[in-house]
Amino acid sequence: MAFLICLGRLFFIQCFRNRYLILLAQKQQNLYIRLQPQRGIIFDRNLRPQAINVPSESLYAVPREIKDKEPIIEKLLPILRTQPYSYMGTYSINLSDKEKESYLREKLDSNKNFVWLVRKLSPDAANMIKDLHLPGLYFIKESKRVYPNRHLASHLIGFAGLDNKGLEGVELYYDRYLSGDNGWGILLRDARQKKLGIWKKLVLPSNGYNLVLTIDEVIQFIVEQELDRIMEKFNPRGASIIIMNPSTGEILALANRPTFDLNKTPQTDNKIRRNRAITDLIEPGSVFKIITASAALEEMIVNEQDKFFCENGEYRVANHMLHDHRPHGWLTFREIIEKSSNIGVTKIAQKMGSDLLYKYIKKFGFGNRLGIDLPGEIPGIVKQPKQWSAVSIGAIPIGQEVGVTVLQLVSVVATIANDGRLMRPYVVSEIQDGYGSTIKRFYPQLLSQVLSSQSATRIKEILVGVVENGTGKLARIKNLRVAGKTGTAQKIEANGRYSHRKFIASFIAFAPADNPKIAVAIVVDEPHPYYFGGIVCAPAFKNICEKVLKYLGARELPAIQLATKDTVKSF
Amino acid sequence: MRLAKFLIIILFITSIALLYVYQQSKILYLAYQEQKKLALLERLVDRRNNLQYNLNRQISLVSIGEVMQTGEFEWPDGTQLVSLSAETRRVKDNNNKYIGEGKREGILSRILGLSSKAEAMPIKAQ
Repeated sequence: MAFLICLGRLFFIQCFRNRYLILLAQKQQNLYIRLQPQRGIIFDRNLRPQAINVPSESLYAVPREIKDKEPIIEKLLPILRTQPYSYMGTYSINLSDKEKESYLREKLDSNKNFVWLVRKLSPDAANMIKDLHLPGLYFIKESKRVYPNRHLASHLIGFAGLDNKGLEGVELYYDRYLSGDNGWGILLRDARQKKLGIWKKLVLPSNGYNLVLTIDEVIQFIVEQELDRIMEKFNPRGASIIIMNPSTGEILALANRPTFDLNKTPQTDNKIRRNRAITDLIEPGSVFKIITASAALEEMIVNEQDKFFCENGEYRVANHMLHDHRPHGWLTFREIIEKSSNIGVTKIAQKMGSDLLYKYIKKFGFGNRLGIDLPGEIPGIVKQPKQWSAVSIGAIPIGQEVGVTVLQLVSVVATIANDGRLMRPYVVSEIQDGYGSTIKRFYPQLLSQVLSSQSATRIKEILVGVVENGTGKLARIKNLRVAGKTGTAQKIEANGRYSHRKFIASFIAFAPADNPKIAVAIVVDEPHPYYFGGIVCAPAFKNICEKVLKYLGARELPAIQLATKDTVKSF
Repeated sequence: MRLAKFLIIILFITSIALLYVYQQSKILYLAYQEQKKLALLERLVDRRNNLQYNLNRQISLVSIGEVMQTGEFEWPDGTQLVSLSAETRRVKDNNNKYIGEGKREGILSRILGLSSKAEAMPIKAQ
């Protein structure tokens, strides 16, 4: 009888309850785990890592398991105090001790099964907390995005947030390549819910692709050092430098000041984090005269030896009196550019007409985005001729009443250096997989042929004259021909008038003039006490150019052959 | 007779069942062992990654630049960089193959025992 009852029960369990029991067992034994992919690494052009991932541990609590919270808070606080900053809450801010204490108390007082306490702790802090063996506290392993070069190329590289999502710069623009795809797996657990090393099912995550930037870490470093020197010497509001390869459009360096440490972005003001080289609008001033001069040569309106009377420093345009920095009489076209005469350039523009000038302004890329692969680029502001006032013909040719970006300025000199060809600027040359194989390659892209090769050569020679004989003398380099243009633009005050105290100093140039390797734009916002482009920016160009060309020249050297055993014997 | 057969069958099934249970418990035991080793391996790999990062950070240009600023450093000129090459003698590598484009040692040099010297030449003339 008993036997029959047992048999009957067995039959019932096996035939009628089997599905339910299987599901129950699976729920107990199987653990579904989402596997996070590794974010792709960002390299410079020489495959030096600029953004990598390190493992980190995030601390969470199960408040229901914690009976006494006070000792836990007491023990955690001294460890968290040693962290320079910590991800507490949904995003990290620099909390005071009292704020940290009340935050911990609030989290541990909740009646939940899971609360984050601190995300992405340093290994030392995680080990210290583990050694305390506090009840109810556990760790989850996460990947933390770190930047070994701290503030180097910070605005260009950008950063990823707490959940490894790109938020700025290249990290944002190429986020879909860098992110990768999640994997998942079903892991077996024992009766105590302890994980066993047996995967029932496993779909590996697809790690993010790596990016190879066009920037050179060494050139970037040289540029950033020079920016620091400018900031120290002239105490400006900000400054930007871009170096471009004129024949390809590759950005070799892009730096802004003020800057920030990419590993400490939560502590940084939003205003500092913007990439002012592509997001900020400036009136370019005299550097814009290159456009007028190039257009005049290309349209054969002037020759280098044509003379213009520069009205001894005062010239009325409609109801506005235009001044030169220094009074000039008769100047040749070349001398007008070398000495940066506003009146001379205005007369050339008047001869050309507004339509033609506007055409070349647009040809050089102003008023449009150049299409750099970074977020936030603005097109700038260029008024159509029908919107010009009577005074505009005296303002726009000399770089007023137009809004441009630093990127557009470097593209101008790069175009002239590149025989009149405007190239699309870009910062990523290649996307690679984890094994180094190329997934996607980006090639130089010609945007337009702005000038003929002959006109480009002629304007090039005039720009060499600017450095040799004109306002850019402080950029002269021994045994090297440099072509450039200085600029000193008045800023506009709140009342709409041009300021006599606030200026934007600039210098755009390329070198060597005969075989250009680099095109450079340096823009400094409100330097003082000096504010002329020729004094503030030209020497900076000289310092950068000397070091960069030396470095680029040195890179062409063959590798030094080290002595082998046989060579040593023969000595 | 029938009882004996029945008992033998039961014994056989029980043995198989016990063997199965033993196998499963052994699998679980090995899984635990593997889990421990995996945890240790992961800890070591993580530590290595962190050390690698610290190293990268220390040798980064920014760190080196800070050190440079404390002392005197000058970018070397092209004339200060030299290349060492055994141009006058062909040399062999570890696999006994000739490397480099050096000239062969003449018979006279060999007979007279004249050894060739390494030459250091500036890569770029002043």
